[in-house]
Amino acid sequence: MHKKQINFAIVLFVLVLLPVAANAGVPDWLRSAAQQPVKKYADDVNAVYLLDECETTVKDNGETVTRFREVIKVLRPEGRGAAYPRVPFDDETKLNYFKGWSISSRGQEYEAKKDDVVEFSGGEGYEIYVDTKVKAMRIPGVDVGTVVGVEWEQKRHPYTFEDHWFFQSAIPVERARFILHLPASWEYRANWLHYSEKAPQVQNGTSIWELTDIPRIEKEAEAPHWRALAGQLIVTFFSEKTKGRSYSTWGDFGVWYNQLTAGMRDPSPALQQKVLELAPASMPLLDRIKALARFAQRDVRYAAIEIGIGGFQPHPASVTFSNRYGDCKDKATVLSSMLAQIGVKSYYIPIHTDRGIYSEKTPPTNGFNHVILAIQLPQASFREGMPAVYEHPKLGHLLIFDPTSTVVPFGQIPAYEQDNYGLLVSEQGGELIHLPVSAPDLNRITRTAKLTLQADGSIKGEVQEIRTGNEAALGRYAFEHQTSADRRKILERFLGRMMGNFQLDTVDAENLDDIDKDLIIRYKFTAEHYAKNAGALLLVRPRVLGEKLGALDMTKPRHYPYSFDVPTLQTDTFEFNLPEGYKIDELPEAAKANFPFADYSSKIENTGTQLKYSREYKIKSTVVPADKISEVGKFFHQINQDERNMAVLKRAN
Amino acid sequence: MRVLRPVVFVSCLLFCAVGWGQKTDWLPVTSRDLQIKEVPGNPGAPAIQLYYLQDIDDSAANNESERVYQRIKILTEKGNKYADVEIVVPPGCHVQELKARTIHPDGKTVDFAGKPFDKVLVKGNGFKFMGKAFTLPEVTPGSIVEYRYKLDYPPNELPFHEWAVQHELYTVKEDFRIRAYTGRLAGAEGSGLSLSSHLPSSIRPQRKGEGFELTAQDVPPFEAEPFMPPEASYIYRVSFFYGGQELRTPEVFWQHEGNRWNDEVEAYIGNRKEAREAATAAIGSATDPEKKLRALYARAQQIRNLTYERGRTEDEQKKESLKPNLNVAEVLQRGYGYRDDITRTFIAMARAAGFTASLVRVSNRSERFFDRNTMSRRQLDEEIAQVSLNGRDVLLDPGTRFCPFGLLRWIRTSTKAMRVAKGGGELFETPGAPQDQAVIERTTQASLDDEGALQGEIKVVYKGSEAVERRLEAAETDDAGRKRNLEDEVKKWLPPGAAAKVKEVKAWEGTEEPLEATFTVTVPSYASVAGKRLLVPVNLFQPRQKNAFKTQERKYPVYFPYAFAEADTTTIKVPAGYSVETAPQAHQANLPAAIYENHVELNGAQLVSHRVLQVNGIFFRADQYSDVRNFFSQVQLGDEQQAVFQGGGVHAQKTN
Repeated sequence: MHKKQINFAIVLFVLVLLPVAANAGVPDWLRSAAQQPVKKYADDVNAVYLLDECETTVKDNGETVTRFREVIKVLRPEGRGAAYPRVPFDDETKLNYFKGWSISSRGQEYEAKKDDVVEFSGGEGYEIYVDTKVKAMRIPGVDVGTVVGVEWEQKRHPYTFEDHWFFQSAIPVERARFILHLPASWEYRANWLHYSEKAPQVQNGTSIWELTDIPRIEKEAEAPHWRALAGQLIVTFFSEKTKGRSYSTWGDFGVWYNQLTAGMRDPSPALQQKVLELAPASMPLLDRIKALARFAQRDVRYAAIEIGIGGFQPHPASVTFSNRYGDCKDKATVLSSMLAQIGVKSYYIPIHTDRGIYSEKTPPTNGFNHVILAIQLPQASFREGMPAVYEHPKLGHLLIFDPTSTVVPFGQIPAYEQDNYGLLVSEQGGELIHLPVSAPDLNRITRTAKLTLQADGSIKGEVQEIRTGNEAALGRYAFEHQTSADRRKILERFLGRMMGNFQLDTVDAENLDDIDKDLIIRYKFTAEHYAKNAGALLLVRPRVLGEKLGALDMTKPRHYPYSFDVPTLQTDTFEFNLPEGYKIDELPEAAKANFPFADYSSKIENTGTQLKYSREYKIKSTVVPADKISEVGKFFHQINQDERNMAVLKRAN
Repeated sequence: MRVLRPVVFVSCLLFCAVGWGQKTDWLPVTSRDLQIKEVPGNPGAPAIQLYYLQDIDDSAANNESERVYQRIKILTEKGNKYADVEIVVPPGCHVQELKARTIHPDGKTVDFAGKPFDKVLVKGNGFKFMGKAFTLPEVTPGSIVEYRYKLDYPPNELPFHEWAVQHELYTVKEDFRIRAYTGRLAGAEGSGLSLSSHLPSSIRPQRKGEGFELTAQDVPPFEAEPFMPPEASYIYRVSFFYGGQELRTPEVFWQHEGNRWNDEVEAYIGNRKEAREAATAAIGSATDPEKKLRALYARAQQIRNLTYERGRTEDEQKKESLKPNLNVAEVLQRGYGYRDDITRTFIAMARAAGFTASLVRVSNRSERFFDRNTMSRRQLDEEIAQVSLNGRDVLLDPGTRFCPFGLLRWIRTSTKAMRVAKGGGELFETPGAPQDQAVIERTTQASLDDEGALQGEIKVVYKGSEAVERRLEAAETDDAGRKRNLEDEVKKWLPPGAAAKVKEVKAWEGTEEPLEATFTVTVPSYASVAGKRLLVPVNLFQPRQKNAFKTQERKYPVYFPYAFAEADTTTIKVPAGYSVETAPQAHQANLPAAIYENHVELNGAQLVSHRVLQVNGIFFRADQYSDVRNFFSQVQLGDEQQAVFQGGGVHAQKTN
């Protein structure tokens, strides 16, 4: 379902090589916008939209034409990217024209010509093929102080009648307008996201929404996806003549999706035969479901080919089964078809892979980029030990399952789908549901190490990590498809962040391929001079392994919430055998930090011959609101301090 | 007659192309193909290339083509990606006779019956790069995927060819063939096909008729490593060149090119009054030869250097009255030029002032090392000047903005160059820049509080190449961007959670003087508190190579862009009431081309550490890797040393 982008570096390279000649025919609207005084901005604002305008005209037959105008003033050298606008199009969206101009700070005017435009295939790089194309332009004369104008018009034949206007982006907007011309018999519904609702001015059937001084969306580490923050206006158009292509509720959207996928789950004889092989009736029902899920997850290769409506509509299950490849919706379709053969119902869930883009407040809008499945569990007992079960008042126990992810076991869903919203599409239509989030103790890293410290500061360690849930999935992402040599390198880089002269002696991973079991990683290492000799003292950092510090920058004001992947519980227990003749002299304070979103504690125990460091890091929420960001700062400060703390050993004599 | 086309596009096929001789059938599937389970010596590898063939045929009149054949066995799920194929089709070329199939582990075959998708990779202004994309059906680990096709070249053109001998997959067997074009070439007398190669000693191309052949077996994959020399100089490959008599031998070729450059450069420089006048004005009353030459150098660097400005379209050049300079006089009259224009202008002025000055063509080593046997003039792609000063030849780089007198930008050091002269040229190696020409000096004055937090001021002085590189980067942004770049760099040197803010920067636009910046910094939890003790790391800065050499295995040499040095003096004032219990001993580490020293002094309540790191080499062989790794481990060890102070309040867990 993804739409695309290409390697823009190649395109830029080609654009730079293009010969250009131009006589500017700068339009009045650009001149007019360019003359307005620019407000004062922070010194890291690269450019500003003086005007961002979108004008949509819908004809009575549903044909839709949208014209875009953008006027951008370049404020910094880093803003010169405004010289390279891009516009996507495809067979359903004809690009009527695409023009660009610039007015330099010295008043020189330029117009981009035909030769300044290149075209390339769209997509995001992972697809085999998509029919989206992109036109990219190089506008001459763009420097700091230049005002750039771009205008293009698209003639659209939309599958669904809506305009999704993103008026807030990485640069500020001084003036934004959305203009809508609808035939008299048509109606519309406007929904605002992440912005105060504003009524339009209406004149002769034309509605105009105008906004001013829209702040930019800033880059902040671990912030939600920009679309989960940016102001948007979603306008849906309705007409009796185009019924079924507009939706006023998620239920309507579900009806449209049902129509789109009708018949796609019809099985072929070969598919039915495979079901009999994989899940014979003699097997317990839950095992049959698991076997089919496993087949869709691992034996149908991910490969995306998206043409026209194929961006939304899956291929028939029989085709995907025969090819043994398909994209997310194809894999979901094959699994749904197979489950139906054993009498188990399942439902599509379109979803977006970035949490926060859809929420309970999101009006019906077609912006999903992924499809997973809700499997109706026939018995309540099946849900035991499965955190990804959604209890539906009518449909019962729905196990959410993502056949595209090859490392997340049956019963769980990937981190980015937890605490996210997806559209459950059933026979009755659709409803936006909140997908379950797993408890911290289901996503664990339990790391234990037996360490032997020598008087010269060297250390020998035997480490075991047991990973469950999301932490196991992350471990498998990193480890599963690596060669033995590359696994060593991964661990060497991990150890290298925490110690200097070390040697990784052995590495062993258990259950790498068996995703239903915990992932266990064991390794042994030796490190010279891990502890520092200081006269009669030996200084030891008890936190030998692991870094829990987040990416929060407390030196800058924070605007947005802080996101964690999923709740997690991670414990470290490191037991040191002390060198002969040394005893513990002083230890740092225990750490303790408790917040609504997370807990952290550590302690160091002296057992006489041993030093035992243990800590627990627990994340309880997926997101911390911006107004609580100082608590995140305090939380990480405690961790930083604890991770740098040293214990002091002293020679007995 | 054919036209040579200076576009190397075969490399685009590096990971997706193979040829199959004159045959148009599949190779037999052997039992070994079916039985192979893993890559020798590399268990867990995602796939293995069983066969690769690239067969170039320039001999057929108006039907030049290349046949490609590739057979890959998928070994793991990750290897499934090799079932997705995208063939790059360069402008004017056409893919013919494309066939593809999957072979199941049991030997059953499934032909690709679909039609490949035509992707527009880039299209515009009369050119079109297309791609043919398809995916093979029914692929699982254990499957073999294979495909073959013929790439027809555009009529009457001969592209440069390259055999891609090393791939991202281990290759069991590969065959290469090229049949040369034997007709006349436009602009070349006595045409012929020559090659240059980077190959292991065990494989060599063999001449066969009017072309060459090569067979290789068990070729390991190419896997780049951090801090390795330019990858392009390490991937096994064979490049081909068509040309005239000048391609008989590398000696002849470089002499021929030297002659051409000499004619071109001398015509550009000439003996012009503008250069004489400019030289006279720049020198003024100076009489000392070095002062005179420095004055000319400074004058050349005053010329607006367009190389460091953004590219301009023809229309922009017209509106800004920017014209190509045809000679030195135009450079001086107009006051602008690209880096080579400026270098030549400097030479012209130096000659006018009585110096013996020559132009030197030099190989930029940032992307690829010079290969004498690769007969391409583009290898010597940049220009510097050589001037005789007080009986000594000095190399100067006036065309590089911010490059001080006597320094070459690193990409032009330790690399092959040609002194351009009448009758040809002479290849030589430019000298390396020693560590004292790229120095970062950091002086810190800071204090600790009772909780171990540090705050203070750092003065950083960037000298030589370190200043040039930062100034060039700064030229791409504005004042705010420059400050941010510096702050981000300093934060990377400091422990996690640190903040750094620029207080002052001196000499951004300078050339001869160092670049200086002062920062205020805070580092929370810098020192750790244990009971009554305060444990203080004596070095504030983390080594820049901290995470570089952690893996034990190494295939390729270690390579630094330039030799460098760090000299740090860190003064940390401890809180009142603390007294030193132990201070670390001096720490040293050495390599033949590197030194590290670190020692600490106590000055009342102040801890003063002196740290020096000098790496006076840029290239360390793979068999020296363990020494390099050990050296930087020693550096890390020295940098992590701590001093212990006593006397604070109780912050400790109670102990026995």
